[in-house]
Amino acid sequence: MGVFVACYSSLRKLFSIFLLLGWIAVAFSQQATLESKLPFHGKITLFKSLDSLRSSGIQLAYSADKLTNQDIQVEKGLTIKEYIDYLRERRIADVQMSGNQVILLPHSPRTYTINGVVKTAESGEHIIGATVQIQGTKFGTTTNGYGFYTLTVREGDYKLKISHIGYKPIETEISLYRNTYLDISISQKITELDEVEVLSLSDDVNLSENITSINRISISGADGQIPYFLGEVDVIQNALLKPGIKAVGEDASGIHVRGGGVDQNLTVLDEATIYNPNHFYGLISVFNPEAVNNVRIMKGYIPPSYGGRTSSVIEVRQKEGNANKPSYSGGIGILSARMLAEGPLKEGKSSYLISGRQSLLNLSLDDFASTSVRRNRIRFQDLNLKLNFKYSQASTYYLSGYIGNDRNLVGLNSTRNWGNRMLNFRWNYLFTPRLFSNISAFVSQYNYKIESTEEPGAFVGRSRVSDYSFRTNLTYTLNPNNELTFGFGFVYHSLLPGSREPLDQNASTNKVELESEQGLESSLHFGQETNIGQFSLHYGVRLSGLHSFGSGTEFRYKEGVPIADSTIIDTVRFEQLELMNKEINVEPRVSVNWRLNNTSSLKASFSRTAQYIHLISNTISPAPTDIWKLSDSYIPPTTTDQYTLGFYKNLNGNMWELSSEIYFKDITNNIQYKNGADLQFNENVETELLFSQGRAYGLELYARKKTGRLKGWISYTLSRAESRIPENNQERFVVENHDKTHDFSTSWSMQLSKRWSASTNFVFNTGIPVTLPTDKYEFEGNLVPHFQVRNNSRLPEYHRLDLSVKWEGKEFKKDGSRRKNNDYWILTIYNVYARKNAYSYFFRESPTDPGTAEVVKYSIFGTIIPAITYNFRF
Amino acid sequence: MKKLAYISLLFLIFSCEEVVVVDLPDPQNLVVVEGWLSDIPSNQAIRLTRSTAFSNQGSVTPIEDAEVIVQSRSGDVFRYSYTSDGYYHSDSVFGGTSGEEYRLRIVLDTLEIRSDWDQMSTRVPIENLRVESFQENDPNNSDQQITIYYPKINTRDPQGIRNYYRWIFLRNGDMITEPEPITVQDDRLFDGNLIPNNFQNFEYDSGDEMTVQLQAISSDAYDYLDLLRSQITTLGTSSGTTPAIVEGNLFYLNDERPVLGFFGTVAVSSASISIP
Repeated sequence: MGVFVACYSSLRKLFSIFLLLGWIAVAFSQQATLESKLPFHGKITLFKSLDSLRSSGIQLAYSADKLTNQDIQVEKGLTIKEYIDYLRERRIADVQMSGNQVILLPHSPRTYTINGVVKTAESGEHIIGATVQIQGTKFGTTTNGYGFYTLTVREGDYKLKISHIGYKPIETEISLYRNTYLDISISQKITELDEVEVLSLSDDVNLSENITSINRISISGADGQIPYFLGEVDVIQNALLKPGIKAVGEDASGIHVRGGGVDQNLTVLDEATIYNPNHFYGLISVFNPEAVNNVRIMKGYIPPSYGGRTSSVIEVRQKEGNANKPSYSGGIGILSARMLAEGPLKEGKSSYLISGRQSLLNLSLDDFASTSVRRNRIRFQDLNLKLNFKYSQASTYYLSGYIGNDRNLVGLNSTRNWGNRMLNFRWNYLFTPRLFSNISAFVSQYNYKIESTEEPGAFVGRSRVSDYSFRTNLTYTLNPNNELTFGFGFVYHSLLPGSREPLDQNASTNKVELESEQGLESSLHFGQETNIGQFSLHYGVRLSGLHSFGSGTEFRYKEGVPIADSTIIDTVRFEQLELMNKEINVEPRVSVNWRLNNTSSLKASFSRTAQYIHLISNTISPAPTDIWKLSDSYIPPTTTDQYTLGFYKNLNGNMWELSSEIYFKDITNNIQYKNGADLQFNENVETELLFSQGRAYGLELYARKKTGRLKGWISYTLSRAESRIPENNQERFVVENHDKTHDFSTSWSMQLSKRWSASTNFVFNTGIPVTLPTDKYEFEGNLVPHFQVRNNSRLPEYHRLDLSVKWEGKEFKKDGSRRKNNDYWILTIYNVYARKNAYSYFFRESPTDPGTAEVVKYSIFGTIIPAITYNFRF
Repeated sequence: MKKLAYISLLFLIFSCEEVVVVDLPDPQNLVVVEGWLSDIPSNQAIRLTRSTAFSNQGSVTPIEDAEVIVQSRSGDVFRYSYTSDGYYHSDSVFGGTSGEEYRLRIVLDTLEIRSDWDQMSTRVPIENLRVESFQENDPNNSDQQITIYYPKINTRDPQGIRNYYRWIFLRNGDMITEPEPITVQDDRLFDGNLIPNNFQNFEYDSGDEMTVQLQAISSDAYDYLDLLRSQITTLGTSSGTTPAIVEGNLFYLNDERPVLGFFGTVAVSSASISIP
């Protein structure tokens, strides 16, 4: 064969043939094999050792001018193969085997991936948002929503630094010469009084993350001590102390984020939608502080993997449960008692958590102006459950569940029940160390039921909204500078707007059932995070849509006139599964971070969001009776375009975190209501609706001190939210009911001594708009206020100071041994200086001077409210 | 028991009400019409007043110099003349006819105000009126119990037609406006049924003369009264409606200013009983 080639080859080729022939000759004369013992040991140079191998008959090819000659210490008794492996492991040469031939090449560095989870040493729970930084490089990442991290870098010996607020940062050395799986445990920091906390540069997540406008609340940390009404710890009330997040009043069962509506926040508990996050008229949220540990609120840029609501994402995560040992905690206050049990099912592999909360009192929050002689009474309870099971390094299963209930006795004969329930199954799977996937399937339901035994018309009324969802989200790390996220999701919405049945045979009402609504909300999303020099970019697109299906009826109205009952000209009947309406939206999102220097960055973002399901409510704050409605031919999806620009600066070695942001929001098809709209049991609710164009803009300033004995923040928002209704030929924008021009809040906590700590917060804001009457008149002896212009004035300024003091039980017994349980007391004083903040004005005829009208200021909390709670853990 | 009572009073202690003085916008001084045309023949009444500044002491100002007529669709015209306190009474004794449409025309300061046509409904009879009672602690003397009497009234809703009702309760001839100033009912959920109404909020004492009226009204009148009711009873509560103009069915022919109030027709059934 060689000879045949030689017939037409050049001289150079001829030379190589000689070489080849020579090797063939060597092969035939070979005596040694790879399994043979080495012919040398002790100190030897590389080239000498290779020569020796070659002469002992090993087919060895290498180029002496590419490999670096060096001294090698060789142990006695190695085989030739072991020696070659040693050369590879020490990265003296890369080795390729081709048949019997061994080719030694100079070593070229490669990239490898290190991944794993970061967890707490105490309970084994995964930590969300912990920073994993490769020291001496700019490469770093934060753990995702499951505590999982992945980093792909060039091989080498590195120091990995893992840090998270409230934890002791640790450094660990790694030799990254192959793909490595590494779980890292970090321990909670026990704050000593005179300890000086040193923050490293890696605690500047706020500067490095490429998303604008995120607020985080850690209920298990210092945020858990923020004083609130009757000593309760509440996620939503905490959120209200952050910039851009507002409520209409104390009992307002809904929050407005940057001028958005109360139904425009995607509130999720372990990724499953919660439709009504309120207990007890909105004074308490449904999130049991015992079971919840982490809250993230995204109000500016919303990543493409989220959608379905246009204003914000409020992501609440339940604790995972202690994977190391069983533990129990709980607390009792004036308003409620809670208990939690957690522990391993199989140590280190799986854990459980179960928690319950029960209101203790038959509390009554009276509808003060209600003329009913009888009082309303209310009770609530929650049950939270979480199981997780780590099947393998690559696979973890989670099961989360929640059931909540409010029961409200109205008068003597009527009870109302409402509540959310949710069951979510999630599967985290690592296809490769760089491809992380999360697949979830959940059912979420909101139920409302009223039972009235009072005649006339004893009845049982129900309404329900159910979501059945399947979603997948994949994250692929292309290289340290590029991460791709993609996936799809489906939510099948099934809505029962209302049914009303006679209570029993004797009841005089008829059965009324509004048609149910069915819709499939689907989405496809893609996003990329990438770093280019000082810039990092988070961008993507979400394609979303709603297909609504029969069976159902659609009314057709006369064209050219406002739709009303009287303008119905036809009804169209749709069969089961027949497509009734289709809505599609493309939602582009982009966020840019310009890292100016080590301590500051500038970010800008644009986010478009679409919403296909709406809360229909024309009361000042939503009621549990309000129904949800899918977009249809008459109710277009609400869309919001939001622009945010922010400047972020850290001071004093990241001790202080400062941010200032401006935003502008353009909202289309916001739902409004006609004067006197009748929304209950209305089969063509569309006739009562109007659609407004809304806009909201503002400036948010935020300064937070993260470390030291004194921690806390100051938040200020200057903003405006307004809307106009083009249908009514309204040209001017009118302020929204929830608009507050100035909104200031500050919250601080301080460790006073080993066992004593204190917290305080203060809020100040402009009163919400109020509509004042111009005139009064009489109608059949009733005094009627006349309102000419909506929102023509404001309530007085709102301000309030709260305090709390925490006293921890002894850590050690008298004999010096550590106590098994620890406990603490919290004394809370709400509204310290007893300000009578106005909740609203109402207008009435003077009881003492008939014919004279009065403006009455109503305060929900017109007094100082002290409370004490006891908490324990064992 | 006492302790429990204190606990449920917790919220009453927290909340408070305070009369405040607020700068109010300038008054509009609008025309207000209170007018019901009954199917019972009588000197029918209509009241015209003017709204005054909300902060004004005293009550509203009557309008004394208007020309007032009621027209029927079939061409009848009924003239009204001023009597007192804003009231105008029809010159003749007449009653509305079921099925006929009526409207109000007012000329005031050379401007004409009209109402929409309102169709007289058909009377719905009260099947029977009974007195029921319950015991309650005497608010003046907690050791004693008092008996409260209230009306229990059966009615039968006509099948297949939309009916709207207004209830009026009279105690010894005076209309009861507390605690419910306006009581309306709609048959959407009761169509064609026997309705056993309990009106526990309307309290009577022993010896009172109890009179109830069931007025059949139009759907427009129902909407107006319902809106009016929500605006006078739920304003300022968190579950309350947003303050708004209570729009009626009256308007100026050549002026943009709103006209408040309502002109409508009522077909009245009534029943009385003496409480022993």
